[in-house]
Amino acid sequence: MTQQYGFFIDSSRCTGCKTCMLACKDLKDLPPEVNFRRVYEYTGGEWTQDGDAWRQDVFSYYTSIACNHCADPACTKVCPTGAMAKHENGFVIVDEEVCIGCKSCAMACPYGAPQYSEVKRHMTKCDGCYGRVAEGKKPVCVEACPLRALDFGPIEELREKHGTLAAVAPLPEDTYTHPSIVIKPNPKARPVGNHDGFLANPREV
Amino acid sequence: MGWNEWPLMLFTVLAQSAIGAYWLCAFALFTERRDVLARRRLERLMIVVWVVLGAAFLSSTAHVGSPMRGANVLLRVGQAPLSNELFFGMSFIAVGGIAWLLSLFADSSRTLRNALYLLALVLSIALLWNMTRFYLMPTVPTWNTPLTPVAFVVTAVLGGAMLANLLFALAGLASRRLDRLVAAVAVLGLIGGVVAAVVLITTLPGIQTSVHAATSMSPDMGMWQAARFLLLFAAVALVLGQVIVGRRVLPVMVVALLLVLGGEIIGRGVFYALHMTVGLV
Repeated sequence: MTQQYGFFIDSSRCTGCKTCMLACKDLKDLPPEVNFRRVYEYTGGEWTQDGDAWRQDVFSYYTSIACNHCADPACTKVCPTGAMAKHENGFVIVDEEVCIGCKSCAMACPYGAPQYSEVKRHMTKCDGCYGRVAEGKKPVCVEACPLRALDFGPIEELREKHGTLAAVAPLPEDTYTHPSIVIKPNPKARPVGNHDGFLANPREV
Repeated sequence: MGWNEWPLMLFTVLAQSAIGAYWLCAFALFTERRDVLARRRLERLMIVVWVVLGAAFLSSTAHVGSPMRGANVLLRVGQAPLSNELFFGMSFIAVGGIAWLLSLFADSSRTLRNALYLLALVLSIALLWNMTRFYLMPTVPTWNTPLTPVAFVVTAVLGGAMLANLLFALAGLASRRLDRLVAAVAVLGLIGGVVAAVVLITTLPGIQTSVHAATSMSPDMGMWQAARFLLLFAAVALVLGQVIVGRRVLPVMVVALLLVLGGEIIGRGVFYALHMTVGLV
C-alpha cells in the first residue's frame, strides 16, 4: 500500500442537504435502496419550563458517511471470497466479479458501507471514486458539496490540517476499525456512545 | 423477529441438529457392540444425518445473492470462518458419506469405517466451531458473546438427541442405556437453553449505542422465548415419558423432533433479529 487516502468531514459546516449522497447516487447509478454515502442526523434536547419562561437545549447535527476505507476493516475479515479487499491507496473495494452476495460484510461493518444490490445480486459499496482520484480529481461527493464540508486526500495530510478526531455520536468508537476519516465536530456534537439524542432520519440512511 | 433470515435459521438449526445426532450415533456405534445387526442398520440409517446436513447447506444458498458463484467461498479457507464452515461442512458430508457407502457392503472393513467415523467426529467439531466463530464479530455486540456458542451447542444437543433417538428406534437398537443417554442429553440441553435465555434477557439492556438499544431489536422477545420453551419442554417431556414407560412410539418421536426443530428455529429467529453493530447499523 503506497498511501492511505481518506475523507475529511466538516460537521460544523454540514447542513444535511444530502447533495453528496445524490451526486454519488447519480454518478454510480444506484437504485433507491442503495446509498454509498449517507447523511446521519443526530437530534436531541428538549424544552423545559423555568417559571414563566421556556428554555430549550435542542440540537441537531449531521455526519456524512460513505465508506471510511478503514485501516483495519471489519468487512474484509469476514469476507469468504476475498472479493472485499484493501487495494492500492488504501481503498476498500468489492470485486463485483467475485462477490457471491453473502452479506457477511454488511453484518460486520458498523458504518453500513457495504450494501446488497437486489439487481446485481451481490454487494456494492463506495470505492472512493478511485478512477477519478487516479485522474487527479476528488470523489464526486466531495466536489458536489455546496458547503465545502467534505474533503478528500492522503489521510496523513488531512490529519495534519484538521486533527485526528474520527468519531462523534452516533458513529462507533474508532478503535474497532480505525476509519480513514477526520471529523471537525459540530459545536453541538456529542461524544461516542451518547444517549442525549437519537437518529432522526432512520429511513433515509 | 429475523424471519427475513429464514435460510440461515434453517441452515444453522438443521446443521447443528445433524452434528449433534452424528455425535450420538458415533457414540452408539463405538459402544454398542452386542447387537451387530442393529449396529449395521444404524450405520445405514445415518444417511438421514447426511441428507439433513445437505438440506441445511442447500437452504443456506437461498441467503446468498449469487449461489452459482458459491465455489468462490473456498477462496479464503484458513482465513475466514465462513470459508472454513463450507470446507469443513463439505468434508464432513464427504467422509460421512463414504462411510455410509462402505456400510452398504457386507464385507467392507469395520476398522476403515471406524477410522472414517473418528475423522468425521473431528470435522463435525471444526464445522460447529467455525459456524460459531462467524458470528463472533467484534463489531456486533449482540452476537459477540459466549451465549452464541452456548446457543449453537444447545441446538446441537437438543436437535441431535431427538434425531438420534429416532434413528436408534428405526435401527432397532434396543438399549436402555442409549434411551437414558438420549433423555439425559435432552434434559441437559434444555437446562442449558433456559439458563442461556435468562442470561440473554438480563444482559441485553446493557447493550446500547446512540442509534440502537438491543432490547428494542426484538421487542417480542418474551413472547417468542415463551413459545420456544413451550415447544422444547413438550419435546423433552415426550422423550422422558418414553424412558419412564419403557416403550418407544415412533410417531411420538417424530413429534418430539419437530417440536425441537420448531422451538430452535424460533430461538434462532430471535438471534438474527438481535443483529446490530457498535455503530450506525
